[in-house]
Amino acid sequence: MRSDSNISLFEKVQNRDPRAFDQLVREYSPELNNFILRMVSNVEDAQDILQDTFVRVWEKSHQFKGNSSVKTWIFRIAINLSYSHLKKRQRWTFSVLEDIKELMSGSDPVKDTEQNFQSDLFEKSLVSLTPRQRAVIVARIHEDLPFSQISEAVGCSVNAAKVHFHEGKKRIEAFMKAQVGENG
Amino acid sequence: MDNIEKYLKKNLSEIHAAAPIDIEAVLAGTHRKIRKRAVRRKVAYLAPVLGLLLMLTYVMIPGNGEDLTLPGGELMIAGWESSWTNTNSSEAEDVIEQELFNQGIEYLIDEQFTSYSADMDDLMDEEDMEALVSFLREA
Repeated sequence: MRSDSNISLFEKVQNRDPRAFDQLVREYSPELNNFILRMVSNVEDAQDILQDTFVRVWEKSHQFKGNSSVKTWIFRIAINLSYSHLKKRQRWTFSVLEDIKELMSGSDPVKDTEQNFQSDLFEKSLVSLTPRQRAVIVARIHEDLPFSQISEAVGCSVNAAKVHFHEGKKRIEAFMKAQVGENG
Repeated sequence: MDNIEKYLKKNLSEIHAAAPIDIEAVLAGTHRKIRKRAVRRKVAYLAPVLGLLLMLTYVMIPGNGEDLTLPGGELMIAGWESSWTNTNSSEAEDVIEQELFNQGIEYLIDEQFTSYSADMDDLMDEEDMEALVSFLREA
């Protein structure tokens, strides 16, 4: 039912109905923002990417062919923009390890509760991933998107997306083991 | 789903869980970006057309009819061109250039003199001339 109403709403957007577009933004913003935030880990950047995603939806709505659901199509745009953002951000930082060191030096063991420590550790483990690994892992695990959709969004083959997913998992596992070893 | 995937799923759903979102700000920002990109696209499409229009305007609308070249200028240019293309020795070049230059200068002086004479004719009639002559005699 929801899917049908989304299709008719999206058809109105395709026919350049501004009110339908606003409704679409209201409907998808919370979920999409959560997803983008998990990809980029920065509130301002996430909001910027969220707006860019809707700009692309408005401009490219005529390119939607109905091969996937409207939600998947919009999420693919968000993955693509987030991935580009992660790549750009990585280019500006000296290295991923420098990022991790900075994050580690900012943590205060007295102030940090166990939960904060765990969530910090998790975020640090995400920083250790390459942009493509991170995009694939978040899209696959958080949004449960199929590899075929993810591979299109990040610009690689389905097999390459699977490889990035497994390499990313292995890297997180290795990172967590190293951290637990250091702190335990 | 293995243990790492379970761990990732749990933590991905927990981080930033309480991040607030201002939908009105998102809407305003989105509309602003759409407008900005539309303007930028229009400029990108129209720039070549405007450039072409400017060029056509420049070519098709005539000036006020004034010829900006100096009198005698063409003769001097012809002289320079002739001296560079038709002579071999530098001495001969010098002589020819000098001759052509003098011709150019004479032409210019002649032009100026003629125009001054014409001006004088306009300014003075016979009575003025007689008055001037008698004044000079007395002086």
